[in-house]
Amino acid sequence: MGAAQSVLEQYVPLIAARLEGQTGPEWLYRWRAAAFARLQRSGLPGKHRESWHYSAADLWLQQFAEHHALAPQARGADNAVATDLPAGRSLPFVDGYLAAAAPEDETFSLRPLAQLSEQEGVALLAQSRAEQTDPLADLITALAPETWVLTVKAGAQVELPFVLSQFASRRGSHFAQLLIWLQADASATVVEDFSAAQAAGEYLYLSQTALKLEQGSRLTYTRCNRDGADAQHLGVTTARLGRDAQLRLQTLESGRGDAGLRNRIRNGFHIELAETGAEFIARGAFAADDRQHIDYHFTVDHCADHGRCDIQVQGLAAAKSRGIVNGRIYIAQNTRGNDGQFTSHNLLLSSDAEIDAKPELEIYADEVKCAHGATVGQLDADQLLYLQTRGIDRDSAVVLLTEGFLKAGLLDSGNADLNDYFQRQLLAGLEKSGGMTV
Amino acid sequence: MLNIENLRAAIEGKEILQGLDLHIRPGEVHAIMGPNGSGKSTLTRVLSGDPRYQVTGGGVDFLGANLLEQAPEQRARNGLFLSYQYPVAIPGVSNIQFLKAAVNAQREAQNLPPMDALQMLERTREGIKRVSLDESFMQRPVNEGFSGGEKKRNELLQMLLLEPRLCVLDEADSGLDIDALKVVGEVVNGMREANRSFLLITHYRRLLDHIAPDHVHILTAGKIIASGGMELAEQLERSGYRGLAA
Repeated sequence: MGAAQSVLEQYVPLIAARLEGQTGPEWLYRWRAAAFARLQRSGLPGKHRESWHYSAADLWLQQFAEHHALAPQARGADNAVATDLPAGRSLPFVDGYLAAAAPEDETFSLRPLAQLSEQEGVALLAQSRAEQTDPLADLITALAPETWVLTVKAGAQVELPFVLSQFASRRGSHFAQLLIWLQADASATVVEDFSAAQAAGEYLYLSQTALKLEQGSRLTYTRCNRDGADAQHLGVTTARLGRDAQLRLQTLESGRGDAGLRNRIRNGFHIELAETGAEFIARGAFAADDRQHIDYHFTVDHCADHGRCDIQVQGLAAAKSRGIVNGRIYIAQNTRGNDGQFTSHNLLLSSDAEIDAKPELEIYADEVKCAHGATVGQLDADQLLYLQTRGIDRDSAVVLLTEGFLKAGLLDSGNADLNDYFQRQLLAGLEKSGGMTV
Repeated sequence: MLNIENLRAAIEGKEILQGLDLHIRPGEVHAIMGPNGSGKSTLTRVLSGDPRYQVTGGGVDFLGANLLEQAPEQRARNGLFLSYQYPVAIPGVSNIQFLKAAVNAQREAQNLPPMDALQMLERTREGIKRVSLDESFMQRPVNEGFSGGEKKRNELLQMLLLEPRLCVLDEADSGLDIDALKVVGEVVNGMREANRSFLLITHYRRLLDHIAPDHVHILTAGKIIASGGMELAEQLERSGYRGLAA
């Protein structure tokens, strides 16, 4: 029996019980049931799927299940979130559960999915074909105890960033599911920061964030992984962009020199440029250290005319870590004027580290402008020497150069405090370990 | 200050310096002139501690210590500064961040506390003015997108802030217009003092019109074949390297 089948069999009764006990509206039940059915057909993702080649989620889940329950942890008693995020509109979640009153004003609301009207719910959930292609999204949909919808109302220009702290307080399985819905011509900045209590121990975080951007809306979304030393995090971000909508996405994973054997992070991004003129800009940076495993997977579907996508990921792997930057841009047949760029530059700081970078293009239209490329290299000896000849010791020179390298993977969020904060987070691992464990 | 005795050095097995002698006393300005391939840049690289160059013989004493045994950063901390002919670009690292790291690394070596941020800013601004750069260069990544002249001025800025004991300028005049050449002259002349020495490495006499050297040396085939004063540079101007060698 394969790992996928075995662990899926453990999930099936959990999901069946969850569906049986669900008291919400019928449309919500149908949504979860459909995800469950798809999951049973597809199985859990593992090496047998090209897109999961480097991160065998089925095996990870199987290994986790040997020592921990796969069922979502119940809501805990402690709602304290230890975070040092800069000021914003704070939306704290602990182990996937909202840990404060749900706020709302004339520009936005945060509501449980079950509280949406049937019309709203069906419209929102029918939106994305991207999420229907990822078995992980189906697993989270079928089993997440809470699903929240952050709605930014039509035309609202929300200046203050929404800062969502996704905090793991203890060991076990945690599910987090969030839908972010920008209605027509709305704009907002959202930060989703995944961190953990010092004593969280071994935990599994399964998180999905689904973004729906209606016509003319603009979202800057940052996903920052600062998971615990013994964390496994399987994340999926899906997005559907309407006409002239713009999504600016930043994904960051900071290195940690104390990573456990199973410190593994896999973040999938599935973006659908569904209507004319949609734009997706992504910047990613990771600094893998110790035995960390960090995997970014992007798929971008250009389904309409004049879409633009620009992905740039800077990756760094030290010690015995592994970094992966993978994915493809797809240009649909009979579309015109699409522009797709996918590049990844990577640094190897150790002969035991590994980087796998494979940005791909799949083009079925004639009138396109596309490019893809990846580099994997080492620190430049001339740059190192130059810094040393100014009195900077080798270790400090390595830190300066790696910091400089990673900065190219940072997005200007439009908020100086957030920019500084995330730069510090990304580089904190480097500084703590004196330039990582080279 | 600097005593080079019978220095021999090679790169990739090819010996470039073939017994070079040079003695620089505190406060002196020396100029080394030589044709392409004579070993001028090899000398600067060896002095800087570039690991790609192998010293195959001889020795270098700098301020009473064996320079060749020191790591590149140690040489810099002891007061050696090399102005590169082609400074590398360092994307993502701002000039001010780099300067701060360099100044404080050298201060740390002298058991001094890190320079106060305000003082650092003021000194950098002052230096930027002296080398005729714009203040925006403080925030720009080191040498990235700089013109040739801007790179050379940026080297001078570092030299001003680091206040070295021995400044080696490798073709500081190459690719510079008249105004930029004047800046090089003004900065070097402004820094001349009893305890600081300079080694200018150049192809042409024109740099020496702005900085009057105490000694001029002619380097060919990895050896100094003639030493003298400014008259040597003038003779070179008239007869060329071939004429001088004959």
